[in-house]
Amino acid sequence: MTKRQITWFLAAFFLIHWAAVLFRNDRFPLTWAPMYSSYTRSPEMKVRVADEEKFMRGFRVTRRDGSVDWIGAERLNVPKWNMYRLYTQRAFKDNSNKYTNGNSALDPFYRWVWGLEEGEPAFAIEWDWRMFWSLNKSLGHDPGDAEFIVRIQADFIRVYYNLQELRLVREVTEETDLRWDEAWLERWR
Amino acid sequence: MSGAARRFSEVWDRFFYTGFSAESLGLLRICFGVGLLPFHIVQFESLVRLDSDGTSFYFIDPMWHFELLGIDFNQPLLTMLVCCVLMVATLTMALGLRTRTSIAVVIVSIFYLKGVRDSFSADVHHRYLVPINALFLLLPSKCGWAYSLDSRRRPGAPRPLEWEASWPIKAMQLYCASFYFWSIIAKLRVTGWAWFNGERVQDVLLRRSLLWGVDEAGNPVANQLAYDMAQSPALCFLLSQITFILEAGFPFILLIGSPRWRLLFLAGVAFFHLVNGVLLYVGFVLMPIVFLSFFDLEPVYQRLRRRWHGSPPAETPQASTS
Repeated sequence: MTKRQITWFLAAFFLIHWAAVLFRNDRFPLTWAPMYSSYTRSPEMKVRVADEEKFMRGFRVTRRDGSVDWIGAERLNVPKWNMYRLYTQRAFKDNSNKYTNGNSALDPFYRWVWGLEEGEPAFAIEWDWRMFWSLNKSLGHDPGDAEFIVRIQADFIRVYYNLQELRLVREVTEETDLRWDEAWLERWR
Repeated sequence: MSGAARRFSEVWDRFFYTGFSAESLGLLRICFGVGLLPFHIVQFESLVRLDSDGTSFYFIDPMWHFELLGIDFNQPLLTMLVCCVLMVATLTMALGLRTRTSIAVVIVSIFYLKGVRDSFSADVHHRYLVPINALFLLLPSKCGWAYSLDSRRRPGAPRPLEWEASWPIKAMQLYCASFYFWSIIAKLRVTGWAWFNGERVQDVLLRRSLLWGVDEAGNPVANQLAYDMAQSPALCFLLSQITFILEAGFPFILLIGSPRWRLLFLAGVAFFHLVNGVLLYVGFVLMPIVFLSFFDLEPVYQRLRRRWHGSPPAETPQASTS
């Protein structure tokens, strides 16, 4: 490549990256580097406890025929920490960091660029639909099958910590109970 | 050309097109490649542990390029195969064997494996951002000319000029410095100056220490040090200020001429990543492999060669000008 071509290449390279920063793009390999940027102070902090035995054992699922089963990391063939996030976050409809950061402190410029109303999130994901789709597809179940999963349950311990007094307040067992919605049949693929 | 444009052009040329030789670029390729090998292992070992005959998991949220290509499930055997290809291609890149092809294969493999790992549960990890962009910059460069098997296969290839050897290294430096600076912009944009009052650091220390649960006395069952540190607001404030200095001050490294001062600053950043790794499980511990781009490795190599082998210094070619 000639020097002139390299100059254009470098100019384009850095312009694209700075544009990604300006427009809060976080699509690899572009980023606005939002790691650990969002933070909201509250008097009490909530922490999910990683009970490896529990999250690796997985979800308690109910099938269309009424039978109950456990589906964990081994059966789904998912790495440990991905299973942790599926179990304690997505099943509880909690956004992943990329969406939490992406929805944080949206300034008027960003809202104007992407046509978002005041208060409207940049990313809104239906995690419950995705959980049913992902689990059923992975295990080869179609909506008409007797083995089709229609209910997903999970629970974990959440620790509440008082930030003013720097002490543990309580431990609470959080539970989720997702139910299949027949209206989702339209989007099954 | 106006005066301002001419000055800008001079500064641009002086920054991007001077300072390094083809040998420096070749050594950077070797060191970066060798550093990438453990980096890949740390990042993707969890994928190799999967059952190759097991379930093909359908991703809960495919990454943007998987969505574009219609890849919505993991094929475990293929993933393991790509892991092997990645390691081999990284090694051949370091050796300088079909360098450009090797770099291209490394890039494609990282895209695939990162896509798999991050699509399982809708994550996005930022650890590969600097390395992948460094690879993008090395791809069109002449980094395979020196200290490579390619140079033995093509002994008559013309020597790269100084500008040809310098721009990939300088661009890597600039990208790396920008990356740290962007993270400060993001913190200020999302949380503001409140990020640096110590509460955010305290928050993350507590989160990571309580992650494994608490005993009957209310103390964490693991990561006690992070928990103890979080009890001191003054220490948390200090740590947040150090974060600010390291990230906001990173671009100034481009202005530091002395390699010793650069080394000192980058050693500080490396220590910062190490502490984050141990206390907070932040996976940037091997990030310092990209810091090699801030040093001219050729004089270092020649000095080491003289000291260890007692051989006379190789004739260090004067960097040709363009």
